[in-house]
Amino acid sequence: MVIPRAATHNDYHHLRQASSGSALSALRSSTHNITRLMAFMLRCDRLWLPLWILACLMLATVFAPMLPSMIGSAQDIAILREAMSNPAMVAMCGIIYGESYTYGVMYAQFMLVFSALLVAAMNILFVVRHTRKDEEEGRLEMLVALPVGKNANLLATLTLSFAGNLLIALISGTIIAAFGVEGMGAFGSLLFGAALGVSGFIFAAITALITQVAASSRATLGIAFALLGATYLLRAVGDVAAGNVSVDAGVDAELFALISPFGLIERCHLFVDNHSWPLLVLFAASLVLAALAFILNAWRDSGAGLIAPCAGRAHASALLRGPWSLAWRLVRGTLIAWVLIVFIIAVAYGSVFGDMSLFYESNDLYRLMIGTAGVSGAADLMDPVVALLMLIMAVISAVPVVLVVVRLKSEEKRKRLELFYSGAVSRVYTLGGYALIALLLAFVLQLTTALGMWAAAWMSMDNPITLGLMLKTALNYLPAVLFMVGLAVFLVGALPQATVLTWLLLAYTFFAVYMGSLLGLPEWTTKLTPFGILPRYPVDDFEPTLAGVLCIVAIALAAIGLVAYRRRDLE
Amino acid sequence: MSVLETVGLTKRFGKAQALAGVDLSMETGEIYGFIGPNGAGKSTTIRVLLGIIRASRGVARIFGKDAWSDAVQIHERIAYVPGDVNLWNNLSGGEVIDLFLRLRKGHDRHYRNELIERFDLDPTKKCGTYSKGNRQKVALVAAFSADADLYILDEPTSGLDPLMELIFRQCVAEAKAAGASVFLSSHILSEVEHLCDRISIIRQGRIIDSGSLAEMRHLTRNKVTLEAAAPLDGLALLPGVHDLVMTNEAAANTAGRGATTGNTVSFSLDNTQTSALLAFLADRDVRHFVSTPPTLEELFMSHYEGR
Ligand SMILES: Nc1ncnc2c1ncn2[C@@H]1O[C@H](COP(=O)(O)OP(=O)(O)OP(=O)(O)O)[C@@H](O)[C@H]1O
Ligand SMILES: [Mg+2]
Repeated sequence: MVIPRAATHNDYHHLRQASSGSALSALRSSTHNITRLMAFMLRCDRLWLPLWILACLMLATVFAPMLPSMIGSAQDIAILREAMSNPAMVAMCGIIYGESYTYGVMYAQFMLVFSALLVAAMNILFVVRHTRKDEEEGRLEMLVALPVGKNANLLATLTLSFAGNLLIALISGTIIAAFGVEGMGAFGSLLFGAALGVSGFIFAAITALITQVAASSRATLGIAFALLGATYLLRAVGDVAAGNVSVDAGVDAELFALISPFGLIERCHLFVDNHSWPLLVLFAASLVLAALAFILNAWRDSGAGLIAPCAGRAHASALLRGPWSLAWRLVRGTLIAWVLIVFIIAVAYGSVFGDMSLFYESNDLYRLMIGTAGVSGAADLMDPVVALLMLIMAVISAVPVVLVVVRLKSEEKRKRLELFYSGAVSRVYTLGGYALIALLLAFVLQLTTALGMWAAAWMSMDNPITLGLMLKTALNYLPAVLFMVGLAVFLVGALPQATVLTWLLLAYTFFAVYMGSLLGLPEWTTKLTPFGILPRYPVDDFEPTLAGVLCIVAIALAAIGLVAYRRRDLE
Repeated sequence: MSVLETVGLTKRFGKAQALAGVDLSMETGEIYGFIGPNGAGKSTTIRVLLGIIRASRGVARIFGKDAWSDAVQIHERIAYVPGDVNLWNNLSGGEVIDLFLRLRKGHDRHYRNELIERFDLDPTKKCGTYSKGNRQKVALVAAFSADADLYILDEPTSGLDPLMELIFRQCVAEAKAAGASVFLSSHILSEVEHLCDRISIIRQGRIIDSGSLAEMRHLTRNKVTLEAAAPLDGLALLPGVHDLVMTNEAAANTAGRGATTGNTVSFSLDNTQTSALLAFLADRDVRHFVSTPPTLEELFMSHYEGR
């Protein structure tokens, strides 16, 4: 006999109600339990949630009162508007709306999308925490044992996230309005807050939906954040297309921005027209998505997604055959992601070249950073800018490079090496493999940087910088990156407790290079680092001896590290 | 020939002395049991043998080669299973097994698949989703399908269910039949008793006793509790009966004279004297009989009492 699903479900409810008296009291006890569930969640998050909300509020509000003092004269404002209309800036922040470039318009372009991104991230993490993660760790099982019904947990989670977003919306809107900055009216401010709240809630709903489908909490997080990135990019594509009237595509490319929550909240034209329809659309969409999540949640088994986890291979491919191929396999994903990241940053930096002279004239910071010696116009400006940007890129590229070598240390920490080295595996060969991958990565990243910057410069400049110059500038800093590889190998091999030194050195370098000239620190502060000691190539001459010495030191450090690694106890 | 040998093995971690002179000697083809309480130094000894850590003093040799300096050569012919198996989350079980087989010298692809089936392992699952027992199975399959000369196993069954433990015992027996040697550290005395030819007991970094199972027999006493309708006079005088305790008070009065009139008694019994006891009980109308093997702790206790 086949019992229809609804019938069994009803039977179950009748049983419940019979045991707890009338239907009304059942309902009452159920809501009572949901309140208890929410109290329980809040207690778990008594630190996590306030900190996140505080961070969102800070990002959304603190810059508002600073705007007038940061951007002074009317001339500054005009130049800034020109610079911020650059497609690269539009892609990063959004479109400038309105005829007059008020502080409100500036603020909406600078801060709205970034603040919304943070609020959305908070919502994703919150929902995953209280649905799949609780399920996987068995915390939910004892709650489900209470008479709360299958959807109670999801209901409690989404209710709390709604309340949290409402809080963020009201407080941030009120604070911005209270600052009373010129051009930022009360209604616009509240709408700004509401836009943050709504974009947070739609990501809570999206995550609740993904949670039903994905195989695990890790997968849910991955998909949700990929979606966050994708919607951000869609907005960028749509916004750039909307601003670029010369490109006449068959379909209105701005549509891309309209299917992204971030694109939609921009269409409120905050502090200009103050439309509220985009927020209503988003909120309605959130409710539909949430409803879908409830339906699916009632359907699936606790602990499992609707899609089974994708199975791995039953046999290893012929490529996975030794310490080197294992090392490659372990770092592969991270490396590909980093090459992409470095390329995107390089393109973003490179697109600055087109507006170089504008920036230079408008921005005191840039003038300080780049220096004024021998600069008479935009053309003379290029060399120091290329040198500085390439230096910063080299420091950024050193992060994944060091990460590869330090991976072996984290393998040791996670106690995977005992079993691994029980195979016929030489320690020197293994660490050498990680060093080799790091070395190749250093090359690849420097090439990526040069190519990315050159491509962006080529598109945005009338007289583009040659690829040759870019390549030479990038390769100029390669010895410094190689030094970092040597240092990392040395630390992993000889002083595994001190691998954090590599990060301290990189952080210091970044600080010294970026902030040193702004804060007026003496020159030797940057010269202390392997990156700062090298000449700034197109401005200064290339110094082969110095580069050679740096390489030899790197090799010596690596050699000591390899020998020491052979001789020390593993954890 | 001695396949595995340590002489005066000492290991210090800063001030703490983990090993204080460990002497072991294991012959080819033997299954060697290595038992001791928590923190006794079993895993530390094994890590020295694997060349993961270096002995502060003393020698450790496998196949006649130095365990530290010739580690890579030695590892071509050994297989290791740790008690706590940590694997790479994004590799599947099958991939890990194949990787380890490729890291060693010889292996049998057909036997690998057979073992996966016998251990009821799903090789397509990612290691991050395996339970503790399943991760252990991955290590066991990787070890036993390697055609090794020496298997070093550190509490290899700590996460296995009884059925899988049975299959593990079969695998050990098959490895022995194929001429390999097995070094087995374990907390499960019955497992060690069942499998091992010789045993060493380690405590606080020292070997306190070692020998063949027959030599150590006197150590293993079962705890017996029984209830009989007839009086049990003379039970205390039986050879191999120790620590006799009466449960009813009337009996306790006469216990000193060696005459037992009570019905419920408990005592420990040397394993060698079981048939003498059964003969004694044959016509005494036994209603209830429980015999429990000694725990590792009890073994240690009886060992110290013997000194
Ligand atoms: N890396 C280390 N640093 C400091 N002390 C250690 C280290 N490794 C082991 N020890 C100490 O050495 C002693 C022996 O530990 P070991 O792991 O060998 O015990 P074990 O016999 O394997 O115990 P168990 O049965 O619990 O596995 C313990 O007291 C332990 O605390
Ligand atoms: Mg141990």
